[in-house]
Amino acid sequence: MEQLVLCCQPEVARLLWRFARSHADLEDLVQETFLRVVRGIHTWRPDRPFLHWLRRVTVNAGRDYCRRQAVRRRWTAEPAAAAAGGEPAAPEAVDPAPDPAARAAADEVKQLLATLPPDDYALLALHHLEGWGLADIARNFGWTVTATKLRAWRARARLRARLENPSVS
Amino acid sequence: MNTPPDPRDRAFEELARRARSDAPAPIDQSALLRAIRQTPPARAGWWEEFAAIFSRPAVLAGCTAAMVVMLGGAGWMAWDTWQNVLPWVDLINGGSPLGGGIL
Repeated sequence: MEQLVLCCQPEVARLLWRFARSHADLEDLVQETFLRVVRGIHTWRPDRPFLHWLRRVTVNAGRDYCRRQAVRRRWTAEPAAAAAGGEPAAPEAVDPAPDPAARAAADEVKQLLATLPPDDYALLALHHLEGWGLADIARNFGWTVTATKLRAWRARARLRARLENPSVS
Repeated sequence: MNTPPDPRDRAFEELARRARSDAPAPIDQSALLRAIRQTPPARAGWWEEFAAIFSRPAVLAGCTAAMVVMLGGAGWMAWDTWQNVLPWVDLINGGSPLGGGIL
């Protein structure tokens, strides 16, 4: 199991970084993902590729994180900030980035996507940042391809509305 | 004719393209491994084990065939027992046992 963790951890961390808002959150998310793997390893069927199963567990952990963040935003100080016309809280980028321009762009994208519903965040992040096709996303989320296309279209429409008027939440 | 791309979509796609190369800092592997070592390995419950055994088509077909054979055997035994008991039932009810030759 430890060999497996060491082997797959960079891929898992890179994928979860699209969801996490800080490096501390990323560490928690990676740990949560591998604990889910350890506890649920008996649900993996050996006739299926392990990496696909791991990726699905990882994406589910990321989606759960997005949902928790959305609930937290709803019940903490952000509504007051939005009512006052302020911007939502920026991701905590305290760790040094190897490419500061890319980090700034990623923070901006995360901040923008964080104003959308959690599933829209996950869908657009995987599609635009990870380059996943809609069929891959549909398979991982357990949706049909048609439903995924429709959700992507609606998510982009919401995103355009946010770009036009950032104060609308 | 296709709808021309929205300039706001193009701006977002350009931002996302730049964000793609962002990578996280390495995470603390020793803490991760420590947490995993402390987690007890999961044992499948009886239902998962049962479902795993019976999920293969050959097992399912074998069980169906065995069930048909057992039902056939049990049906034949029940019929045979009933045939043996029937004369005594007739006798108790006042009918003529063994084909009615006595009365």
